[in-house]
Amino acid sequence: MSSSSSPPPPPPPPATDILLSLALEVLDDILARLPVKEVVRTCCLSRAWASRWESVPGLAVRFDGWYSAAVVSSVLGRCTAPVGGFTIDVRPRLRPRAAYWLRTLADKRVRSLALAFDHSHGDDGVVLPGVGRALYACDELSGLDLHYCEVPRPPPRQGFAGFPRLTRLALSRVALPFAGAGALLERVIAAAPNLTDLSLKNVFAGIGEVEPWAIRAPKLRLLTLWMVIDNGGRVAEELPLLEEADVSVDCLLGSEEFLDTIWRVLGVKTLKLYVRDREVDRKETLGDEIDEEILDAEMSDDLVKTLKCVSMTHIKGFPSEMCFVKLLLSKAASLESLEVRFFWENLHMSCEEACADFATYERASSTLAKFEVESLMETFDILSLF
Amino acid sequence: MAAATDDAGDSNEMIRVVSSDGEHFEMPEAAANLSLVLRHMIEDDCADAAGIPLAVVAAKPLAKIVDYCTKHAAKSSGLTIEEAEELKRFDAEFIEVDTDMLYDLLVAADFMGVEGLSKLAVQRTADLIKGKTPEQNRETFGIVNDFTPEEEEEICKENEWAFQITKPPSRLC
Repeated sequence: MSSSSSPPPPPPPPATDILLSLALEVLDDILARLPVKEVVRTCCLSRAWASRWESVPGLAVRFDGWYSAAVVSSVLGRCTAPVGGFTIDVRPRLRPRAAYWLRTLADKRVRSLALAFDHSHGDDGVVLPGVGRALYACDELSGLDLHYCEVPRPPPRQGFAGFPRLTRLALSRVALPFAGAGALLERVIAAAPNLTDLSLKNVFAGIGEVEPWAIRAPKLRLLTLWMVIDNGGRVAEELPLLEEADVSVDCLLGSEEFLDTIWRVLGVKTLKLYVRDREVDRKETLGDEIDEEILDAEMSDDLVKTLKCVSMTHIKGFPSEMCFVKLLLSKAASLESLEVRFFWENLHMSCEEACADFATYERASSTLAKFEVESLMETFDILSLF
Repeated sequence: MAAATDDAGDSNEMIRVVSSDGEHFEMPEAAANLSLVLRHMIEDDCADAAGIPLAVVAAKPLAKIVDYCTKHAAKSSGLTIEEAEELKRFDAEFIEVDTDMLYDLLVAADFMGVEGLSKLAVQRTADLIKGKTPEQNRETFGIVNDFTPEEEEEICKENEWAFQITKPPSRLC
């Protein structure tokens, strides 16, 4: 216990609240940079702060790990200004709430949405959790991330004009189970003139027959396209600004469409090709009928001049794949790194044979610093074999 | 008087500014152009030998701002990776100031429309708030707790989740 002779308490702080004397917008800017929890915590600083957080525009509202649905609803309800972002892991029990949150968020002119639905043991793998039509009312969205859910058909009456401010669209394991879904995706992508980042990982569009639709996004810098089952989507035109492409279009393997897709993304710096198909032993992975001459003619030096990093995953050593590597090496003048990962079964030629071939290929790039082949647990450094 | 670097921008003209407490400073035109307010004054031919008066910016913060603008104007376009990193280091050191100076910079940068500096000061303030207890924040920013203990308890209870450390319950979902 302290005695009565303990030193006097420190002098009280100056009686001016530095933060509250700043211009409204400056303090808003400061608070919007804090995690939502910390912003809300300012409520207990003083009476003047009790509900200051509610009027901060552009708050990044984020809930992950454990949270209660009541807290999410309360925070969203109390935000009086437009919400900057809403990021949440939706636990199975809270799925029905998502539609309600979306309605509130649409009213609060939310700019960025990231909804990741968790799996439930009860899911049959066919019907995914629904996301709610209020999504279409969030017309100020600049970023949209959806994972493991079903997007409904847009409301019929109000004409849905897309999300014109969208710069990032990322859908993974998302189903749009209605006729005209492909056309809707095409419209959403085309209606966003500043779209720079597009990621479509296993998006299921339409019902029954596959409807073709086009990806037209002239400002795209990042493209991730994973299609195990064909959803009809194709890169329809050149993507002049594309820097990075991560492509896995197993459903198109062995078709000219596969090459069409590859040619459109070859002007990038980083290219990842991934063959995921494990069930079907394809005769060829890069194309059945395509021979070296066609590949050679299509792959112009100009097309591949910017390529720096290429990785090919799950290849099996088919002639077209070998030829692709050969042409790439002979033409891609800025290539810095090439990684080739072999599949573990049904190989057309053994990895050792392929490596011996790779070592004989001519190289256009003086910058090639890494050329590695992986097979099972082994890694071969091809550059050391030259 | 703040030292001006010799390699600032394409115009060699020096712009004079006067603080609220009457001190004179000068900086290259390219540096002054980083302030929206100064740029407009220059465009409107209001920059003369007497200097542009800045009624709400005292000498102390103004000296810092002139430093900031001069440094950033000298390294504005076509930065190499090393230069960009050096500028980042400069910023980090520059903003290591006490709360009073930080306040002055927030106000002055906002008033003068120096976007980069505004961002820097705003982020620094946010970083100061982050991870602190309410008591620490009150102390740093001169906030007087005028709640009665009962009121404080009630408002904390109302927003209880924000004061809890996130911990998953034993049974999820």
